[in-house]
Amino acid sequence: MKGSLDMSKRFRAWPLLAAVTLVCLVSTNSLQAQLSERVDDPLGLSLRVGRIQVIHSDRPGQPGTSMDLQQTDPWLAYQLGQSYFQREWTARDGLFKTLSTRPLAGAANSCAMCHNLPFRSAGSGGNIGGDFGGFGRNTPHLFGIGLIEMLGMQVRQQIMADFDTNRNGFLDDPAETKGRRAIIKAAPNVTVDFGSLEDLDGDGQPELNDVIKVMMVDRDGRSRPLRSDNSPSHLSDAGIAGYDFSVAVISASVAGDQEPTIRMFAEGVLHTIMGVAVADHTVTNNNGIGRDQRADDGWAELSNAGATQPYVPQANSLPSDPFQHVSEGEIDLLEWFLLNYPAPAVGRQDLNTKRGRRLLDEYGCTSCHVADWDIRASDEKRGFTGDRRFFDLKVQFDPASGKLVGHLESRLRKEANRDLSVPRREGFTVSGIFTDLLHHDVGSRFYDYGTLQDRLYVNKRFRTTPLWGVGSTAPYGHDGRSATLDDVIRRHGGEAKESASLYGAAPLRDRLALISFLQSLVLYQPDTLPTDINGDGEIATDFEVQGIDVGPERFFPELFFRVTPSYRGWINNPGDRYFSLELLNAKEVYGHSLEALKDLNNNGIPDVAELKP
Amino acid sequence: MYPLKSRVVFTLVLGIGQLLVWASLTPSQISENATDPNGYKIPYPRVRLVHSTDTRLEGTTAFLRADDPFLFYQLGRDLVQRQFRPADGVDGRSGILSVPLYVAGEVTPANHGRDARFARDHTNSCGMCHSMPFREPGSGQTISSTGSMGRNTPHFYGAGLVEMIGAQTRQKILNLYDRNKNGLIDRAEVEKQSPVRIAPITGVAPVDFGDLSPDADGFPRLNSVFRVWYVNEKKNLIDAPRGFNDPRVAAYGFAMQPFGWGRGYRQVDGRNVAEGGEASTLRSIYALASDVHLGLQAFDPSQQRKSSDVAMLGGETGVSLNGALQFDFDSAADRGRKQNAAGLSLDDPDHDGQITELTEGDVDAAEFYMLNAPAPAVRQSPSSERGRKVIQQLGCLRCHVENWQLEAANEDLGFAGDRRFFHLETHTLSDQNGVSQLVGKLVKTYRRLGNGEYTFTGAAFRVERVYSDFKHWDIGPEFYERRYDGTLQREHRTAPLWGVGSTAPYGHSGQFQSLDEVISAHKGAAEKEGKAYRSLNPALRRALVEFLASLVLFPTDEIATDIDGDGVRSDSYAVARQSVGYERFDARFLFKVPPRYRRLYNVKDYLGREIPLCLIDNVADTYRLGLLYRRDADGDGFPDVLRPAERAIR
Repeated sequence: MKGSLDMSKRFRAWPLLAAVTLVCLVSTNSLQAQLSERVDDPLGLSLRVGRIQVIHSDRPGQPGTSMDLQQTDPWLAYQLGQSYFQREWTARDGLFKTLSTRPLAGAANSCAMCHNLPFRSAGSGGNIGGDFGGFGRNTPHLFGIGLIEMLGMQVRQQIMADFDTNRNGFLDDPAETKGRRAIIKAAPNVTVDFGSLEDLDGDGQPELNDVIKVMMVDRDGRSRPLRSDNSPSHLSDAGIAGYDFSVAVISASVAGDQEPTIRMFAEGVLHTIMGVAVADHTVTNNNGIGRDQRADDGWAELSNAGATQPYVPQANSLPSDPFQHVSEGEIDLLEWFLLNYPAPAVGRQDLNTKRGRRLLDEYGCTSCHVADWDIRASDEKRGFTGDRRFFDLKVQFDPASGKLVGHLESRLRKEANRDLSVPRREGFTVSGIFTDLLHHDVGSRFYDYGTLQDRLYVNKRFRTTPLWGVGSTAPYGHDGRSATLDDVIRRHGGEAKESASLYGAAPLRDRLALISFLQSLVLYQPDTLPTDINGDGEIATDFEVQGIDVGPERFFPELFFRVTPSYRGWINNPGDRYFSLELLNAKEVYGHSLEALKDLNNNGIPDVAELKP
Repeated sequence: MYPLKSRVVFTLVLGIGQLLVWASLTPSQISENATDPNGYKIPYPRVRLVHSTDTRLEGTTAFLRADDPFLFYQLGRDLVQRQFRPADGVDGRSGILSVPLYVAGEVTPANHGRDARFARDHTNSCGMCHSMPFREPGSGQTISSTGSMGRNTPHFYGAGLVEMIGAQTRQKILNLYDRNKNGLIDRAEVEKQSPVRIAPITGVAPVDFGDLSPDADGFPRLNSVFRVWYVNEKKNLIDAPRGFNDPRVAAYGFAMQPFGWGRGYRQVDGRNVAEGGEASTLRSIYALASDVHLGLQAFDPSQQRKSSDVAMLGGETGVSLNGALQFDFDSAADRGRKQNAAGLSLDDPDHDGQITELTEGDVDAAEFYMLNAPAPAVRQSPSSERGRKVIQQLGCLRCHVENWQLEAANEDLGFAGDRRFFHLETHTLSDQNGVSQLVGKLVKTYRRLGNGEYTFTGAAFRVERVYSDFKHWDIGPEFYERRYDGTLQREHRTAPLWGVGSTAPYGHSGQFQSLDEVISAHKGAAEKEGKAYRSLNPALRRALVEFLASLVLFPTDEIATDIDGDGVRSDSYAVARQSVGYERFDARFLFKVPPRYRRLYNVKDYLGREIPLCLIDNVADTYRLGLLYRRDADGDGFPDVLRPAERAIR
């Protein structure tokens, strides 16, 4: 019906079409996405393959399972993880299913619906209205989220290394807490005070910053969060020997919505925003069996990506359709992707921006917006894991091209005598993050009001926003109510009053300089970023993989897969010659011929899983 | 008042604490909640609105518009911001590929997936994408579209003005060439060259929209912002892929489609067929977007041709409640083939068990809100106006046309005049520290009839600083879009620059992160101006960008605004004798039955202004839920009395 405008046919055929469409969907497993899933996409920016549930493994050996993918084909693992982030989940996946009472429908069907700008990145986005506060929450970007997770965990390890002197896994109160403060070294000559380990005001809780979530424990380290009347346990209660804690640094701007790990955060969002069920033994196992170290201690297993997970009880039963949940293996890969997600970029610097950077120090902004943090190298004795990522992408402005460019550095090492790659777990300096990870009261202009059980409620404390990427993430504030950087800086009061008045009183020239520096801290689209990926110091316009031209050298994960992608290549249309990235060997490249990902009946569940009783 | 110590609640314990977190994360755009002390949430349950054109039918849209226009505006706003629920019919085909790549295309079993544009039903609220500023007609997220580069969400501040510019431009073209005044371009009318040059304002350089006479392929040589349909002698629409080269074709009709980024052309048998914009009218874009993005199908006879035997895209369908001529581009997806006695469509096109998911009355209200949605503002900095000269000197205004004149109502010329009921005038106030803020004045452009009913005046209005010619242009390869089918879309609509300071990232795909990047990328038809910008000295470049950054979106209900016309922006405005804080354009303050606010506590807002946190004690009264056609005793979302008498009689 080329070019025709005949609609009657369309209408008459609709029920049939709908039926056929459904059949096609089921039979070809052709799911669509926020990024659409299209092998034929000539730009190669769409999702390449349909979803096949990934089976979890905690060691390599079974091809196609999560740990095997992570260690034998880490970029494929990364890209599959990305696909869960970008995917538009569908009814077939069980979308909105876990919101069974559905007081409100799910807001969106993809992580990428909100983490959206720049498109096809884990960027920032608009506001999500919440039950709390009329203005809801502005979507923060997730660039560098793995580094933030590692810093949070390192804070915990440092506190434990310094104060858990009897090494029983928690802080004995008062023996290990009396008169002590959790003062953490962020970088050389920079310390951050996370508060008092001791309960100074006698309210039964230590005076720690809100970012630290405290859990009371008994003498055996078993969690005792609540009294018999369901009120929170106090340190002075009989049977409470001290407390354990996590450092909840991930994502949201208020403490109640923050999580200590990427995994918990991702599962929470899948569950509540998209209503997709998650089956994840890694976080639900707290029985001391298998990979859980101690029963009932509030901690579950160590994830494949290397983060010990807080225990999360299974939220509710899974839908009966076995395809309608996200599998543990898929969560493994999603965590792997986010852990490794690159950090924001530093755009064009000039005298003005450099001056602005100095002024950040002068006004005292950097006393909370702490510029740099060190990740310590792996040190088993002190509990440090080192940098668990497998690559680092440094993105800076290139004066020659006038564009942002990337430099990719592998942080993998080969396992001796095996064809496996694992992160080197060295130290790393996270530079230009600009946060102390703490929560502060920065004045009434940020306060957030709501009702909770018929009581008026105010939230006064918010995390120090990491400033990296801030040039790309207007509007500002946890509620997105400040249109510009100038607006949001002037909104600071409370603990930041002095810095804000210094800024307000500064001459225009200085204010503009400071803002121009902040505006140079930007986000970018990773998949089209010109990048030196082979470390030769150049960015080729025609890059070759296995002797085949794959277009300009860029940060495009497919180029690093174990199986070389085969693209359609040059298309010559009259007046329109272009390189088509239509993928001709998607199944092989994306691992769908590996044993644990084979799915001959196209139902999205690996055949090996279906053979099991 | 119990300002709890947040730490106590938020020092959540692991395990159990996690459950609390999940519970508290329940998402929403603007959800229903009568206990929001900020007053932002929607305090009443959804009841579908009943359409009528008879202002005596209490609670129908004609009545609400004539009797309580600010309530009608708010009801429309709530429809746009509301988070719809499954019971409203939201969702249903989530993830299913059935939105064709091309406007008139189809998704067939044979090529399933190959020509589809994107999966349906992404979200449950318009406000999810139109999210910045929050709760406003803002810009926002990017979604996959005809290609994987995606489409960035444009804002729709001032959308009514854009609709009126489009309609007036079409009318002016007809006035030039439609000699027999049948609303169509007959063969005889365009036998000679028929150039279309429309001046945005009398005396200003005209915009060249092409030529109405056919090219060798039989198609009018109009810019692709126009959609064209063909009719035979009997004025019935016919499928005419050869245009005037088909002897059956007696005339063609056309609509200008100023909304959306533009779809450029597609190749059909070696010919370029204009794909138009996204929509011609507010009704059309609301119904279309609700269907494909939310899974809500509108049953809207206002934009459906009555005769079911004619089944082409196009054709006039009459003038809507709010005065806009409508066309049938199949935007309202619920055709109402099967209806019950109450006039509800039983079709349920998405088979989710919910019928008539949006009524004609709902579309009336959304249309009224969008029609009256305030235009973007100019938030000047001490130096931002300097850049305006630079923009003029570089020649940018050749396409980014600064101002358009809406002519006053004139029946002979077919002009409706300004159909809005009010506009929100804005300007910048700066203090001695150079801190600027926007303030507003509500200018009422309605009049009262003898019986007290409200209607628009239809006066002339100058649309200022919109910065678009609403044409599609090829401005070079950095803006090209490789579509899924491998073809290349080269043309896109000249982005109206109003609001551009608030709508990063830029370009139809959002591929440019900054204004500097997007301007620098201009080539093709804008080669000269792009080059001039690229070679500009840094100071002038900064001035230009600073000027663009002053064209902003803003929270329409939060800037200090004189709404009662007394020339003062009061610090303490009272509604029904209760102070509600500073005077601002919260439409509820102007309801016919004023809200009875109960003050809970005074707080400082994000700009340090004192405002009371309030609840509304008379929700049912102020939102007039008790009117005959509003009442919903059984809470099923449909009013108990559905069918206006006038329809039953017909």
